[in-house]
Amino acid sequence: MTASGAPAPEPVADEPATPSMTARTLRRLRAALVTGSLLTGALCLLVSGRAHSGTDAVGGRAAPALLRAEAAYGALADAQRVAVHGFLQGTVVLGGLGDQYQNDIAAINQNLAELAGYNVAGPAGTSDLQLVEGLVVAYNAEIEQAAADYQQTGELTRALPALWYATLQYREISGALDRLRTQGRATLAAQRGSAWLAGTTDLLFLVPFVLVLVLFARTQFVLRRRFRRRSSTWLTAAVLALAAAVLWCGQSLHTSHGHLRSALDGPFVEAVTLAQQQAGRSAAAAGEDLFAVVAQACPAASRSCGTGLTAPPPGPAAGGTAEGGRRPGQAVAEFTDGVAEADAASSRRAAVVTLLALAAAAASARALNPRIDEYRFGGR
Amino acid sequence: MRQQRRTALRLLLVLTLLAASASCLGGPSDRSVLTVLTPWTAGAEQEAFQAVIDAFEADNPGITVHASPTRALDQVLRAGVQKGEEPDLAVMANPGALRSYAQQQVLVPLDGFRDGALGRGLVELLESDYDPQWYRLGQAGTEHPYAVVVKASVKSLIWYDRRQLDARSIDSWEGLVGVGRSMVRRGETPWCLAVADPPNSGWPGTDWIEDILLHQSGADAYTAWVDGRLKWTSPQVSAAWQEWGRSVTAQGAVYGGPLTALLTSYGEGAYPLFTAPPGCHLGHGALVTPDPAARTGPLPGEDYDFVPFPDLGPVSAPVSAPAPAPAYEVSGDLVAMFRDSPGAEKFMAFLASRKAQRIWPQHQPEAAFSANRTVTQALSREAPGSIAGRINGLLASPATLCFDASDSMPSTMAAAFNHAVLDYLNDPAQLPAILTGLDRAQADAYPQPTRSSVCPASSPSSPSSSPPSPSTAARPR
Repeated sequence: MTASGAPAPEPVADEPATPSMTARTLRRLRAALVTGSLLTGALCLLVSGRAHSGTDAVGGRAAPALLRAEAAYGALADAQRVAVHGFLQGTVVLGGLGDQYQNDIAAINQNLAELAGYNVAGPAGTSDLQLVEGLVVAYNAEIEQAAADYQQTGELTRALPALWYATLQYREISGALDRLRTQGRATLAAQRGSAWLAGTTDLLFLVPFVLVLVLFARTQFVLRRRFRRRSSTWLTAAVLALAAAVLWCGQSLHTSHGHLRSALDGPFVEAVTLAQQQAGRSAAAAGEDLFAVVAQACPAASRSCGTGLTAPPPGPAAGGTAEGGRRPGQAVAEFTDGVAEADAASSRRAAVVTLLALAAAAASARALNPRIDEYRFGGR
Repeated sequence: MRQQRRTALRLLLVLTLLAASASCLGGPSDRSVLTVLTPWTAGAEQEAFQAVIDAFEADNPGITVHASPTRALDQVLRAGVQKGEEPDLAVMANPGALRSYAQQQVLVPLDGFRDGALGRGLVELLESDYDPQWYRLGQAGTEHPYAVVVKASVKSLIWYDRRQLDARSIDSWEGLVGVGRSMVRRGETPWCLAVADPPNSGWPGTDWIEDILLHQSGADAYTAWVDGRLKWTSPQVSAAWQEWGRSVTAQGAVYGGPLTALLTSYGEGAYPLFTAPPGCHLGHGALVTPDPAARTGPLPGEDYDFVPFPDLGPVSAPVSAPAPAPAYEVSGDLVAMFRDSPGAEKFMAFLASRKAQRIWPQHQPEAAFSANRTVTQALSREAPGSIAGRINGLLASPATLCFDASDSMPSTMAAAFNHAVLDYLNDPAQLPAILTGLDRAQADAYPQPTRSSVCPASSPSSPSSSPPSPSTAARPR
């Protein structure tokens, strides 16, 4: 226990230090403990901040950007499926391109706008993104031209050139989106591999924490030897506060990483897979219908009137949901929840660690101030 | 003990410094990076432009040039300018677009460089080494030069299957038409034609019509038409359409028929010219390319060759008209600067230099040419008998060079022209309605009278060079 009103103790025989030496030692220990506690807390916050940035980069930008690219690709494939099917069935003549087609075009534009907002594409990706944005406008114009040609003449042959030009642009957009998706996967993998998300950076605050613990032990040793204090409540409180800060920090980081990992390995992968499956089915159906349209317009001509189209292999049915009735949107929602939990853990962490580290520093100072005060009128 | 404490404190200090430096990694680079928006996304053109860039970077180690290729260059550039995120430089095939950006004052004039000496040297080079029409093309109808022609193409070429045809039989329009008809009678297909090239499908047909108009009605009528002063329903323009129709819309005249021409990608249009037996024997335009998947490539000069586009008889019977001087339709890719910087200025100056202008023709000797007269003359002397040497000879000759008409028209007019070609191939009987529609588009597209520089002023090449009569001139509404 502290005894602020007690007289200055006599130096013990085995440590013949002068009072001024002891005061200097105590001041140095106090400075080291306060600094060490604050440094440990600061490093906790640094690692926490970096991990939070990493979580944000992965879960808040890279992964959602990839999902937006997948969604844009899926909407494009569906737009092509719906449009070509409308031409094949002749529904374009009376019903126009239909709501589904317009919704798909709107979804493409919305996903591209969000993808641009994530700003993860880099110079080459930005160029591809601009290309896609430009080509989608041209694609839609060609499809609408084909519909107008069909409606004016009622002849599929008259609509075919514009429909084919739209298809050529559809292929080009698909290629650019493929590049964006590939780049998105690479960016995601690189950011997931960041050291700040690997847990090894915990050493940055664990090492100073151990050093500060040694300093605490040394301080306790000095207090016991020179002031015959078996234990100090404030010192114990400081140790406990700092240990709590470090434990909270480590545990919280671990929890945060776990949430992110689970979200990425589970719902995210599922969302990407479902989106790709759905886009694949739409693209296959569009290809089958387009081949039928071309075959209908130029049945006798060789080489499919220069389109180079060949009969597509039979594929699965188009549209609808994947096996098990899951839709990409459900998996995306689960992924978003997982990232939000990881983010919430990060937010709480900063406040708790700051408070505990400050408390540890204050308690450290409080533990030694009375002893130092005893030398107030002595030499330095 | 004291030593241990010092060690511990030092360790803490080191950790602090490490932690601080971890957040401060990276720093600015002295290297200047330029972005050039280009339409060349793949193949020989992309490689050739990269070779130009490589040569520049070798001479300027502190500058990196990043080519940003996009097929939707117009859309990307327009969006970038609107958002204030324009590239440092951009390539434009359309002088109309250059004119538009110059009028918006988003381009850096070549005579307004920060490095005045470099700018003056560049302008002097353009004036001394380039024909005046190339220089005026870069002026985009303004007082200042804005662009450098990085690559030129000659469009007035008829490519033919040399194994089957003799050049003398097709060196006149009558001969060309006669050869086509006799081939059709024999069950062969004379013409290769492919017009699919979204978002500008139809342009290969516009080149045909422009060439016919130029060689039938002369450069003055051509210029008046580009400037919106000659109506689409005028006898000159209407005759050009009909002449083209006689060549390509007749039964069996084009490979696969009109629908195949409409659906085949432009780059693949000449593939049948090189098959055995050939699917078609004649092609029009700047270049023909064989199928890269073919086992053996055709030999230039032996398997295929070209003749310059022949003159046609004038629309109305001439009154002892003098023999016209040769005229060729050309096109060029213009590089203009949107963001001024020392690196961009150096790159522009380099692009105009003789050294840079030689690089592209060396990579694509039959398809790409220089607008630099000194370079063209040198290249024509180096290989006088080759296809490339002879095309260089056309460029270096005193012939009238007229810039691609549709590229020089306002963008809405050019788009309508492209689409009209598609409509015409689909249904030639609709020509009167198509031309009337183009007249309407013309009235909207030219709110103010323009004077382009597609052909040199007071051109001598005018087979029927009477200026358009008031009855045929367009009246802006």
